Amino acid sequence: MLKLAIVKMTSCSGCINELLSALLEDDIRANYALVYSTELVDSIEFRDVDLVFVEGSVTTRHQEEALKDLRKHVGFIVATGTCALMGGVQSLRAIGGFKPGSRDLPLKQGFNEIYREPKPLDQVVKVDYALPGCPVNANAVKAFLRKYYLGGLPVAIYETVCSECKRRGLPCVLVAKGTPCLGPITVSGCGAICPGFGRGCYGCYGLQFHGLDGGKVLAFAERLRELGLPDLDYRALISAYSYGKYRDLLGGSH
Amino acid sequence: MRKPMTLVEGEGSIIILENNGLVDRVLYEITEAPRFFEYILRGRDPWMTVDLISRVCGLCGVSYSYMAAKAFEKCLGVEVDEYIERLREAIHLAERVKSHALHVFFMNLPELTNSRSTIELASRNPDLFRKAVDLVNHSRRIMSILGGRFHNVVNVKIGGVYRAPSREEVEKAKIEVTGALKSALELASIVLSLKPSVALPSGGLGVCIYSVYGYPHHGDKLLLGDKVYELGEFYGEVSVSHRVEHSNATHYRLRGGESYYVGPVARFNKYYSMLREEARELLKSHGWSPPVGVVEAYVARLAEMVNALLEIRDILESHREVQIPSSIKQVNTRGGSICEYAVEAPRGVLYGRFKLGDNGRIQECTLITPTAQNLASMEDTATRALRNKRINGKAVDIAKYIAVAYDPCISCSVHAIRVEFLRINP
Repeated sequence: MLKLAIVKMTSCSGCINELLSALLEDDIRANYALVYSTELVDSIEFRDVDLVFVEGSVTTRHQEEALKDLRKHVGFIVATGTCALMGGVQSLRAIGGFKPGSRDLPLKQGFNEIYREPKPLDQVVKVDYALPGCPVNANAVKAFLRKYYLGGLPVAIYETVCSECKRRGLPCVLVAKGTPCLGPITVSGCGAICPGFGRGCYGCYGLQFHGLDGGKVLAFAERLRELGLPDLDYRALISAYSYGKYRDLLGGSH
Repeated sequence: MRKPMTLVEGEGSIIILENNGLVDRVLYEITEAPRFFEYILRGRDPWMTVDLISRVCGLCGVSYSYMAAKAFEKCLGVEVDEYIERLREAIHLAERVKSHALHVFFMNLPELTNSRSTIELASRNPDLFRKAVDLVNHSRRIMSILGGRFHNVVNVKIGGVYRAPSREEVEKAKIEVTGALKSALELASIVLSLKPSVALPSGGLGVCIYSVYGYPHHGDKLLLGDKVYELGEFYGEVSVSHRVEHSNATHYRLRGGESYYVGPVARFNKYYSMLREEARELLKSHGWSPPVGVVEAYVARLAEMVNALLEIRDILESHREVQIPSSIKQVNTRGGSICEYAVEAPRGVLYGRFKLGDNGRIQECTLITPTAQNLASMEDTATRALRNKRINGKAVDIAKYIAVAYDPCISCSVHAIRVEFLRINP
């Protein structure tokens, strides 16, 4: 029986419910014991944990220290969800003029420690596995837990949402209807939910991990602009769900 | 003394202030880091806001999306087809079922049955556990069919939905609703037979959306006592926000200083007569009737869960094929509009107010969340229950129990930090 924990940083907790859905499966319950989760377990004892899901991004010094401490005590950390991987929706503040703790921001004491830019977990500690999504997909969590128990990990697939549309036989909303869609640059994993509802993908799983560079992202922006998605909104969507990657690809000049 | 809160969503602690070894006041410290939603929504297009805003809360994202869509529709003069509106109500009610199911069976039940977690309870009572899992899974599939997924549904937009379900999908959803109802009724019979171990004071004054035709759901008027208020009037003159030292969340009190509560108990006590007969019969057969106190909130949640499932079933029964128009007609294109609306989120009244600039984008935004409104009442209830009692494990348990009963959703409560207070220049 492996001992499992769920630790929350700054997030909406939506991923916790997906984790819960996975943990309710009989075979997973037989192999894993959830010993720590302030939301789901009435205990704050954190001991001998084998595996921890960390959801949310790091937005305070306190969280950063807690995460480093966690790394010392747990062998395997799974960054869970878009916030943990890329910073999450709260990163949108970083593209504005938001400066907590500055003179024109008379925040209450303690707020001064809040970071302007939420940090993805891997900026603070080594992360062993990543599950994307806003929220993560319970099926991906189940697949991971089943493989991990057998001593392996799921095979990483770095496709975009487009491949999921093709597999489902969905007509391309971008080509057929001219609807702005972030599918071509967004990592797969959701099952093409939005195109399945006849709308464009808005990128909540984050930018594709590999094969993208700043030039491609900007060239794609051009196409979306032609289809009526203003650059401002395109950037907001990419920052909201892929801030960590956005900064790497387009940082500096933007 | 300070104890971290468990079985609630988000990060917070209970602080008990003492006076000669006796309880003086109970405070709930909200330490969750704020995400400044009201700030990050500035400059956004209303269309995008409907998706973004669901990220305020991982438990009740539909409430946020729905509230925003309705607020913008109202001030931009966008009409919504009657059946499509009912369909969105069904998505929102499905969220009520999901949220109540998670709360009652995964946060409240450990308290009522003296166990550490519901997953742990599985070995003691596998049948009860199985039913709770079935209910969650049914609600999950209803949400997926109608909204795309369990959270952050993708099928709510200004003007309606992106796609109406097909006949086949509606039939599938009906099967799930029937299954959910069966599990909910069986579970309710078990849980309604449990009584809280302690008798506690009620939560004071309840506030909910004013409703004429049915159980409160969404609207633009609020009911406090017997008085009906416009939203702007209530949040401008009746309810006042307070910053408190011990919390990252804003507190709300009535102008006279009295606390008020929102949520299932407020709705239930006022609108019991508007619940479906089946839901009322269920309660009667277990000896429950209004008014219930805040610590008996699970009773109201179970009644609402059954009621919502019956409503969803009726909406699905009224299914008709509809063509979703590819463009939405917007009557008002003036800038400077104030868009406001309220919905009954699972935890109570959620109010949003958006000021649009001349470019049609959000200039200012205020979100008043249910949990932020409940925090003062939570503290007052716990203080009334424990003042001058000896500080010991039992006092802490009661303070914890009260917190769980209110079902605070801490991640969203801290977003209600007023941005105008921060004076940010974007």
